[in-house]
Amino acid sequence: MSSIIKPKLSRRALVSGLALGGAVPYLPSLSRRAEAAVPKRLLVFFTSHGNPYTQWKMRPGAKPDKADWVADLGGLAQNEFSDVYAPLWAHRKKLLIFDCLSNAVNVAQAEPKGHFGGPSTILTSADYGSADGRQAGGPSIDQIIAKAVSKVGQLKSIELGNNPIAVWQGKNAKLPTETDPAKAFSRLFPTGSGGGMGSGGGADTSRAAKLQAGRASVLDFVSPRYESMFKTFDRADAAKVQAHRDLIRDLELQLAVKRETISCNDLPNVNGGGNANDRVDAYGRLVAAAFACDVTRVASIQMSQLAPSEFGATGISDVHQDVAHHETNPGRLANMAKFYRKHAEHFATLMGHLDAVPEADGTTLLDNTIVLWVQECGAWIHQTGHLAVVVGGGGLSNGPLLPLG
Amino acid sequence: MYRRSSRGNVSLRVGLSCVLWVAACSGSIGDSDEPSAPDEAGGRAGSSGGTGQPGSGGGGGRSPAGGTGGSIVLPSCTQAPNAWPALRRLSTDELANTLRDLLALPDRPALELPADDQREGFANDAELLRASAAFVSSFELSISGLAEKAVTQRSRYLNCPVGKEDAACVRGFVESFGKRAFRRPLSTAEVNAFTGFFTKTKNEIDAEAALSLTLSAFLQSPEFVYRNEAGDKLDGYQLASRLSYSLWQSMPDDELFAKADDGSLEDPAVLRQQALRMLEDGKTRAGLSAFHRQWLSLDRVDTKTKDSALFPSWTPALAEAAREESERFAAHVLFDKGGSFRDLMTSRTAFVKGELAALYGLPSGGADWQEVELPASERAGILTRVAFQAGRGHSLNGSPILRGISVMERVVCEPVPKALDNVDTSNPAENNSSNKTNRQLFEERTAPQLCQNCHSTIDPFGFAFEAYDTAGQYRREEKGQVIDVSGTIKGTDVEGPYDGPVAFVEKLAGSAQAQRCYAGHWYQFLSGRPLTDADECRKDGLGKASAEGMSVLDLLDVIVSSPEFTSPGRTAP
Repeated sequence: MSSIIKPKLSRRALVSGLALGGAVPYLPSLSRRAEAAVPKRLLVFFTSHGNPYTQWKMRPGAKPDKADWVADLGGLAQNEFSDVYAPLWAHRKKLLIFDCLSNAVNVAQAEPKGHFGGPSTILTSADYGSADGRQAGGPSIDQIIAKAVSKVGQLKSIELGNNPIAVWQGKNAKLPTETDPAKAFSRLFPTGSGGGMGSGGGADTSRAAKLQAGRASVLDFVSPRYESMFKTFDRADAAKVQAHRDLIRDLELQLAVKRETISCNDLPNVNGGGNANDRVDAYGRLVAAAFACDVTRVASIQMSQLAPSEFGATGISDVHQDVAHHETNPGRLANMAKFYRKHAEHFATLMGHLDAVPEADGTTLLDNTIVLWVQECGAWIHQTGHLAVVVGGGGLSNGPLLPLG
Repeated sequence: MYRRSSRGNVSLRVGLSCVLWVAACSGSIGDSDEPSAPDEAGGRAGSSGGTGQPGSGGGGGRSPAGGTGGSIVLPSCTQAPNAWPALRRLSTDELANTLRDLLALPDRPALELPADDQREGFANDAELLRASAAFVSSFELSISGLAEKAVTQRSRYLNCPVGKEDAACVRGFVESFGKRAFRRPLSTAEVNAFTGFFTKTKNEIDAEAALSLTLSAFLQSPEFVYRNEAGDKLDGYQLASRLSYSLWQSMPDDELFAKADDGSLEDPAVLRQQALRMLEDGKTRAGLSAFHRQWLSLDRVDTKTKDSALFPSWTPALAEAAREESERFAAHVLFDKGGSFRDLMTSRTAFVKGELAALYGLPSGGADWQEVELPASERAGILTRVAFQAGRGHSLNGSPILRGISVMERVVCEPVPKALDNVDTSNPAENNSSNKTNRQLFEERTAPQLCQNCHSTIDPFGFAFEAYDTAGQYRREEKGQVIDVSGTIKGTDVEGPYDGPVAFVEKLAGSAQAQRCYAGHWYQFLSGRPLTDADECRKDGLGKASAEGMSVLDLLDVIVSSPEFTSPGRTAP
């Protein structure tokens, strides 16, 4: 089952509810199948600017504007999807579209909202970490989940994309991203051989293999040094050194994982095209491989704005300058709709890559993954009300929205 | 202290006059309860001599620091400035510099680390610099590679023949390399641990692997990656690091280590002597180049493309040369001329090569940098150069708004109001076939009262620069009209009319607010933290000294002579 859900009020719902003190994220009742209790993985897709409401809103069966309702997406024809969301139609059976959700934390904040306040709050639900809104006051939901679901030897999460603004390790601790898919590949599958097709490792007991093992032993040797150091500092600094120690431990465990134990026959041959559309495709294949091999369970992709040529716009040179600050000019709205339709294509691509990989029990990766799409701003340009939240993934059905907070 | 003759020669002043700070300003020295004694940042005396850099080709407009040669009185403070940070992860710049010096590499190694988060343009903020999974894994990869290469120079590390790595040899390596890597001597336990690691690795693999992995272990230890400036009192090694990272963005050299070893660096006079030595040294010139690049985000120009029909010479290489020119210019003002903020804002000396010369209206130059003087009617100081101007321009046209915002934010530290929603922010020069100048198009766009509420303040900070097109070329006419480059500043201490870019930057050069802003940025850059109310007094004092003509190097001297510089760091609340 899949739905479009429109509660009447902009309440503290999915997005802001997600990060409530690390509570289990609320999602509409999470299971069609008794055996698939909760999703195992999370992929966050974050895009710039806001998705104009007039362009994406959907009223299947002439549903009213001012009322709560839930409608089934599964039975809709493609032309019943809005222009912006039409690319999602192929995945309509594993989709939730939310109407009327807001970035409640940011709505309650003073200026600055939009480009600064939006990214620092959308996934964190925390107040600003700095007065200018550019810093977040706490970790983002993906990191909270990563901590909870990652296993020994896994990468806790992988951050991809060229716009590192919405994913936070903790207060004032923005996480950088990997822009280059090949580099991301070598992070996910650290064999020392760099990107490209997996080299398979082989039964190499040579000096080179011992040196490779030696890299993990170095990390093992230095991590207690971090421990003795953080004991000498005040809380904030101690936490910084301690977090560093934990990351060194994580890396040590990843390096120590023998490639033979990963049953990945079909690693993607990634190439980091200069074009955003190619990159999203490569990221999607990477994430699918990483999830399939269980080297990580949490990923995020943060996109900076697209070049006009990347989403088929003509006569403009810069989305932000020429288009994004408008919700009344029809020409600009049409371009913004194109922009967001392209992102809907990206989202569909990501879902497609996950849906193409079967799991042992006959389901697909997508069936066991939450794919969450949120933006910097809300429907009304620099405000953070009325976001265009889409959740893809399996095991979703249209349960009632719970009031959160 | 410095005094430079009009020929630009540099000499250290004979004798060390102390920079005095009153107790009230420090909260850490003495127990005076009289907060009224004036701070004194040394007088200007002594005669010039020695040979500095070759003089400029035509007088860079240098006025001797201090003007009168008298002392500069900094106002006393009633509130102690914030302590400096207790813990600082080395920035990417600092890591690269340190590895170059520690491993004696010919150049800075290319570390493929994720970009450091920035605060107000500065990428060395102690709070924001931290580890992430991406940092830890790319650092591990880079360090493993460097360590593998380093073993080819085995004799730099191991003072014994191959196959004869006995305990004394290994211990010698651990003690001497360890001290430079950790920037302090190792404890006995540390020596034993690293020696043990080496020996174990040698037994499991071989001596070469042991050397490479032990180097890697040193470089991935927190004592290498972090500056630890906590404690009840900074010892000589901590002071040496604070000094070397402040001025060089790198590790201490042999002389600083020696002064830490014998304890003399804890003597303020010796510390200052070292600071003065370092201020005279090429490493400071290189180390501090990041400051002006980050202050004005000069590297914005690197990624700018310009319309190929209008600006056929514009290439990534030209853009990079433009940025380098501004950095060279700033270094020249500071280090060759002993210049002040005013000099930075008004000097017409420039360094050009190839097509960059043509952008300045000169004949195309050769492959080598050449020092020139730019025309007095066209250019003055760093803001009027190609990098700043072209870095704030679109493909076809410059943006008076972006230029104005940058001047407000970075030069006079004035908050800029946020753009409104639902107003037309598209570039008025795109698809424009009228005969209006760029300024007229922007004026038309921001004419409604709703826009004017803010743009009447912002735009005059940028209109002067309509004298430069989007590639930074000087021009008087556009679309057959003489360009209006006049304006009237509202607010700040430079309010009032100006005519033309040279007059405008002259105004900024004389602005107490701009001086204070600039000095505050230096304090932020050295201390690695944002300034708060507690730092206002320090900012006032430095700004005032700068306004009275103090050279930038003397400002730095004052900062590293301040009581908080030698006080232990504290974790930000």
